[in-house]
This record gives sequence, structure tokens and C-alpha cells, in this order.
Amino acid sequence: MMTSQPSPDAFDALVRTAQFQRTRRIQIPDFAYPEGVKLAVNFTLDFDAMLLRRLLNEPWGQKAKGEFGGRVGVWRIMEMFDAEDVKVTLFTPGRICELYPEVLRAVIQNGHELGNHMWEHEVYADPVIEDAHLTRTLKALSAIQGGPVTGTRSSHTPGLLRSKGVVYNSFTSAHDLPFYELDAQGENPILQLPFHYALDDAMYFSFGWLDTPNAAQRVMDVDEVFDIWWAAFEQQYKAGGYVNFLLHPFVSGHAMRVDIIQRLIQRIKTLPGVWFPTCDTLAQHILTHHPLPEAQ
Amino acid sequence: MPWKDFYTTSDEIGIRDAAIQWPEGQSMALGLTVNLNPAGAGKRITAKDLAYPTWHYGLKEGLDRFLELFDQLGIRATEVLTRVTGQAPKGWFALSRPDDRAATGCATDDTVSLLKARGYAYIGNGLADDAPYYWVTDPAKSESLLALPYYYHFDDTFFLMFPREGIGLERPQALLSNWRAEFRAQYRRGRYGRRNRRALASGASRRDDAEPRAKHLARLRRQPELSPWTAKTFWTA
Ligand SMILES: [Zn+2]
Repeated sequence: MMTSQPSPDAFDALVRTAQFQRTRRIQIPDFAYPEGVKLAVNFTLDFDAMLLRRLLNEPWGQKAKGEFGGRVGVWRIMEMFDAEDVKVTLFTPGRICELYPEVLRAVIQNGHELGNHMWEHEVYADPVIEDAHLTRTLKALSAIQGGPVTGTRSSHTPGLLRSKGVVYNSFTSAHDLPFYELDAQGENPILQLPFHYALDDAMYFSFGWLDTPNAAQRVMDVDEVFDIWWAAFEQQYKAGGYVNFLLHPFVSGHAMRVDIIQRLIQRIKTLPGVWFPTCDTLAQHILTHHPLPEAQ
Repeated sequence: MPWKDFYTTSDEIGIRDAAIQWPEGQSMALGLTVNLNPAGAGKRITAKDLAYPTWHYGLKEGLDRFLELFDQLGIRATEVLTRVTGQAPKGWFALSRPDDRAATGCATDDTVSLLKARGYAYIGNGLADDAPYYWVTDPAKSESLLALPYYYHFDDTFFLMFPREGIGLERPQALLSNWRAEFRAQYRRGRYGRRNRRALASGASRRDDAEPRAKHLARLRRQPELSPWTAKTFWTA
């Protein structure tokens, strides 16, 4: 069967869309880190424990797999970060403040950051519900943090996020370096601290991740993943870029994985000029030194 | 917080490494579980499953080879039986079948309470810890069942002949690497390790390199960095 050609009007509309989409992601000219820093490495932990498994109505084994992250994994991985003196950001659903308050208080005491990760790992289409969830989550997190929450990892509406004081999101991989992103109407710019799925632990280690079928499963061993992550880091290090490792306490809190992440950090530290800030620390540097150019 | 309410199975904070004590001053516990099921589809066992050549292999040479190896190494294993004859088992496993859509077993809302009511001493695949812990069935009455840790990264089901023999993936090296990495980490922590094996998969010889897969276990035993390996299985039925 022949594929029909789009009409000239439809083609023009596609061209206009492509042009608009390109303008939505604004790279930062002459991007620079603080003096002496060659690149920043963010370790970001999505502390969602069993919430997504529960949302999808999965059996108890699945929920318990997530529960490991809250009662064992998060403690263990945070102890390792503290031993390495690396500050991290935990993107945390509001409900976790009720399930695991003690570890969150310990995390704040040790100088780490809490960011928003939805109420129960879901953004609802109804704007009233979305607002209520975001408000409730920010309130719960900032009560523990003892100060405002400035970041999110979510598909929350950018305009709503800005109205609540959220200044950055870490939810896209459109560029290697941090950049500003406009919403679908070309408004409400928000700073994006990009992650990449190649640096997401769950992709390598979690069975059936993102609904992949059984025949597609490759439960990886830690050494394979260490090599992939080291290569990704090295490439960005040479380029003076940015690295954001996305970890889940229920995945990377397992003993063998805490060990490879520690090994990775120790190897990274052998190179000069690597900065391990929280996402908020990095965001404040960018907002201060590289605000969005006016003429957009 | 409405503790539990379909969120959690156990307490807020798991046992810390320093609080764990094993009998006779041992450094860690290592559980070895042999799963003797026909590993068919996620349904009941059928006559067809029992006629299956690979199942036949598993119960004969596969199992014999395991037992011989365990004898040589002086270790005891727990065999997961699908049907009990004679003595009642103390433990119960809800392991996943290769074609289940999750690798974490099939415990339902009622499983643990039912096991408790029927007098079982433990459930074999707890996923909320990597040390033995208590799966709470009724917080009001402080009722719980011992759960022994399980994690599919150490279960050969997901590495050998997965998801089905002939069409599946054969990744013994990844399995061995996971075992070794976890063993090293848990030995240092003085915690717990668990390997799950199927007699029909791990017991099989690989015709192409003439090296029995069961030898992986012996190889693990021989790793210089793992000796002296004094782990015992404390939870055998
Ligand atoms: Zn998440």
C-alpha cells in the first residue's frame, strides 16, 4: 500500500511545530560552574518505595520489593553517601513522609535535599486534584526539610510548579547540560537538570521495568553497569558536561549495588574538578549566574 | 500514618547490620534453595508438565548432581517441594514462574495469614529485607510470620533458559557475578545471602563447553577472596 503524502498545509503545520519545539528548550550560553569545577555530578534518588507498585495494583511481592527501599535500602545507601561526603537529592513522594519519616529527618540532618516526586507517584489530569496533591506534598516535605522545596521530578504543570516556588525539574534528557524549558504554550520557563535513562539503575536491574515483556529482561550484574556508568561519566568529564545518576533506594540500596556506587564515587574522586552538589545547590548557582536571557 | 493499609508488610526500619547475631559466632548465613517444580507456566501442574523431558532431567541427573556437589562441599540445602508426602514442611515459597509478569512471587493478600493459620514457620520469599524479618499479618494482635529474604537477582530462573528453554537467554556469567558481588558485600556486613536454583536448569551440563553449571557453585566456593567460607544454612527445614 502506498503511503499518502501529507497535504501542503499539514506539512507546513509540522514544520511550524518543529520550529516551536526547538524554541522551547533554551540552552545556556557560556555555561560555567563555580571556579575550579570541571563538571557537576548529581546523585538523585527517587524514593518512591512501593508507591508505584501499589498504584498499579501489583501483588505483595512487588510491593515488598519496594518496601525494601524504605526500611533497608535508603539507610544503607545514605550511609555510604555520608561516608563519601557526597550530598544528594531525594525526590520523594509526599506519602513517604508518613511511611518513613525517621530516615527523612536523618537525611536532612546530614545536609541532603528533599525534592518533590508527586504525592503517590501520579499526576492527575484534573487541575484541582493536581494542585491539592502538589500543595500537600510540598507542605509535608518542607516540614521535614525545615525550609522550602525548590525542585521536582515530575510531569507537574510548569506554571503550577512556579506558583508554588519550585524552580527546577529533573525530568528530561533533551540536552547533556542543564537548560531552561518552556511549557507547551511557550511560557513558564523552568530550569531542567537532565537525567538520562542510561544512568537509571532500574533500567538495568528491575524486572519488567516500564512494562517490558519477560523475553526482553536482562537482569544485569553490577560490574557490567559499573563499566557503562564509568564510560558515561568519563565522556561527560572530558566534555566538561553534567552527570545525573538516577537511583532508587529499593534497587540501588541492595548491598552489592551500594558497593559499586561507592567504587564509582571513589574512582570519580581521583579526577580533579568534580563537584557533588545537591540539585538545589546547582540550581541556585545556575539561576544566579546564568539566569534565563530576557530576549526569548 | 495508616501503617500497612496495603503499603507495607513490616516495620519502618529493618534490622541494622550491627544488631545481627548468628549462632556459634558465624559471620553470616547463606541459604541455598533448590526449587523442585516443573517450572511450567504460571498455572497448576499438568500431566503434560510431568511428561516434559527437561523436568525428567531435573528430577534425575539434575538433582543427583546437586546432591553430590552439596555432599562434596558439606552444605545443606532446602528443597522446595510442590507436593508434600509424609512430614509437613515448615516453610512455604511463593516463587515466580518464568512467565509470570513479576519476578517476586505470587503471594496474595491472604497468603501469609493462611500460612500462619496452617502452622507454617516461615515464608521463603520475603522481599522487604535482605536479612530474615517478620512479615506482619495483624498489627493489632502483633501477629507475624518469619520471612526469609529472596531476591530474583540470585535466582537462576531468570538467567538460565529464561524465559523458556530453546527461545531463552543463557547468562550464567551474570548470575555468578551477582552471587559473588552480593556475597562479598553481605559477608562484610555479616548479613545474609540466598541463592535459588532450579535442578532442571543449574543441574544441566552444557554440551558445548562440557562444564556442568553446577560447578559454578564449586567455583564460587573456590574464589580466594571468599575463603574462609564458613557459611552454613541455618534455616533448613
Ligand atoms: Zn519514581
